[in-house]
Amino acid sequence: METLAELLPRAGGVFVQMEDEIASISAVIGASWTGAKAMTATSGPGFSLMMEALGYAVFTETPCVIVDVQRAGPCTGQATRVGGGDVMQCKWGMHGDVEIVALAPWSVQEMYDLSVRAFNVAERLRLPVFLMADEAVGHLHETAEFHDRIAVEQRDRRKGFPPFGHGDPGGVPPMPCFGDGENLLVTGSTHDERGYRKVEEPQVHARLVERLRQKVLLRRDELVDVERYMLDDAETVIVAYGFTARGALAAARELRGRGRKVGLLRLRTLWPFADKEVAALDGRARRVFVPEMNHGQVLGEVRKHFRGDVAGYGQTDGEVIPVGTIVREVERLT
Amino acid sequence: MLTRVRFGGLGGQGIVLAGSILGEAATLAGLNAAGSNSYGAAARGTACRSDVVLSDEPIDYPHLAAADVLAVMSQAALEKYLPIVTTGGVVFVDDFSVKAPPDDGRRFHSVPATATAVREFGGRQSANIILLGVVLGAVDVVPLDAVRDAIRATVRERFHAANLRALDLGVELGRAARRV
Amino acid sequence: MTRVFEQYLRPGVKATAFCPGCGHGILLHGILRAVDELGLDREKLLFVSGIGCAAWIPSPHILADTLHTLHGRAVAYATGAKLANPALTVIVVSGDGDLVSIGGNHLVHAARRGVDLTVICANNEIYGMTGGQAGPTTPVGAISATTPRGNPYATFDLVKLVLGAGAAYVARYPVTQPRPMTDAIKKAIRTPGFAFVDVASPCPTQFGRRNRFEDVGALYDRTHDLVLPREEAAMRPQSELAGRLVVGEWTPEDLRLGAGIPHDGPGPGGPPC
Repeated sequence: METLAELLPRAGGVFVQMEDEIASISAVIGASWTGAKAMTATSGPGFSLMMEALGYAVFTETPCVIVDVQRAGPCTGQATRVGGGDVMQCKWGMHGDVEIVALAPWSVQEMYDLSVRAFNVAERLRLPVFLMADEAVGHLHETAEFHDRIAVEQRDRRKGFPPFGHGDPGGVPPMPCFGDGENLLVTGSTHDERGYRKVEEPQVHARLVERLRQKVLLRRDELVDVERYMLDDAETVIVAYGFTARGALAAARELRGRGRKVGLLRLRTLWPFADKEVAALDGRARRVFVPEMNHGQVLGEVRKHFRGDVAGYGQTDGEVIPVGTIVREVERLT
Repeated sequence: MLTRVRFGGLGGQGIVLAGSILGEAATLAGLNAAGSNSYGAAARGTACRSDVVLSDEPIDYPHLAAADVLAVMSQAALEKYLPIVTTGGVVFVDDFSVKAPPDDGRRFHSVPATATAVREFGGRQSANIILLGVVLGAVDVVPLDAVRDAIRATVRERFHAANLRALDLGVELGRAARRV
Repeated sequence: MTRVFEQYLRPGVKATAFCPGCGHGILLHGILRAVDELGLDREKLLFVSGIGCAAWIPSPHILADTLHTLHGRAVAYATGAKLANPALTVIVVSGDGDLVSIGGNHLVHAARRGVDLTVICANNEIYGMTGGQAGPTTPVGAISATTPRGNPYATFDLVKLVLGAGAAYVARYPVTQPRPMTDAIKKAIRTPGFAFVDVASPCPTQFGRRNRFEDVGALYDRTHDLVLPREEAAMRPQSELAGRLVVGEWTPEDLRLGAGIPHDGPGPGGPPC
């Protein structure tokens, strides 16, 4: 945020330091409805504070980007140390059923590239997109390439259409903004396609919640993003994400050097979950190993979709999982 | 070719800056660099470190499990970080506050970084850049012109001249150490 | 309401959600009259509200952009909207519980920042919609759902609070004085920077019934009788100001002079323990 405070005004943007994280995400939503691409960044308890307004963003279909640099929790925990315990929170931390999109960068380059992608997905689907980084990536200095030109998704601001309804089950309605003359009616209560509060009508609520879910689920093939390393003949596949995946890649290469057939399936998106990609390991890999800086938040998802042996390694001591630990744990399994 | 460098010392000695300049220089020279360092309270007043991984190939894993080069400005940092230095690795210690042990398959160089800073600049502030220069003079990792550019890009303009001179002084010390 | 203002109402919204005798309808009228008299461009007009009865004053009634947000957060949403497009006239309308209790932090910080917002607090001295619980504006001794033996806690004086936090303009009037109330809203909208209007709006259902105002008229008489213009208050001894509704307009200049700021104090109450 300190960097944005320096750079955004130079690029014609606005930076404001709000009084707390609730205010920050609230201001982001207000700015987004006024036509701005808007984002905030937080960590630990600040992410918890934002949950209510994030539900508002989902329900009012407000494009925005939230960077969560995960640290060791629960609670204040180890404020400057690494953790990965917010994987489920970004999906289930809001009350009610929601589908969101969460990306997991593993490098400085991806903090940049996936930020761009997060904004584009947010604008295209009208929803909050989470950049689920971790402290190790957040505090990494690294060679990275920044582009002079980037592809930017422009918001569909066509007027005259219902801003909260669409004929298709997973359709994304146009989103004109405040000041466009549309007399917009925006509410976090259950609403019809024009924004009128309809809290007593079960069908209206069911239809709205379902469309918001399908908006993501019907597009899972274009959203889910994985990288595959050395999978062709892999008997053991490590499924990893974020900084841990870099350790996993180094471990996989080391294990290959020792003659072990190990590969890596790297999740660049956490949500929607890469269920098909994990299931596709069936019949080829004998086992899957999931190292993560929490106690099995992605492990549980992998278990749902891979029928072979699945083992996890959870580490929550505020340190990254050493390459040697991953090597050791995989050797123990094989 | 992969080189893993750790700078260690006390918060306030400019350890983090030395690592940042090295990483920036490597990037300017077309190499890949990755680095991390002590953060927040740990970077002030107590033991702190700054790690840099340099490679002409993409860097899989950006943290240090082992170091090829260690340069330290405090005894505590030497004791804490020595175990990760590989056999065949090189260790530079600032002789003002650190006592180097005898070689043990690793080469130890005791250099007057702080003493030179005090003599040439009347204060200790430039000792970190002198130590960076020592590393660069003794080990060929990054061309010096790129390091000079990195100093200009990282340090405030009014400190450019002093830092560039400190670098040169350090490089001389490093070259001398290399000849030993 | 005169039919002149029908053009400002969203077609299809037939009746307000307000109880008979609620002051919020008068305030809605005052806001629309202010907008009309100022000749504001409605395409550049944004109303932001939180949760509670007062949040329904703009949403869904007013035919303009309306953002009906979360409980307490209206001012923070409004800040983001105003910063993203300074050409918008942004007016927050919400209740005392919403703006001052849950959203108190956002209120004082927006005033401190001097964001060009107009915040209108429909102050009914109680949480109306959620069932008549005490709020930070509930008078000392008043009965509410959560203070069955009388409210023991001191009351926020919103004029002092918001002025002290840095607002450029603060006013207080009850809905029983619609013309000065409307003029204050107009002045607040025209004020560059943060402006705040504390509007006393009686709540017969939750406040009136619990506090033995047998009919709406009696409750309005109470509001009317509590009014004390700030000029008059300045001449009265402190002991006569407790519980009074000191009305008028204030600017930072009053803070500097220290004169005319109401000092009604916490009253005879205090924590029960």
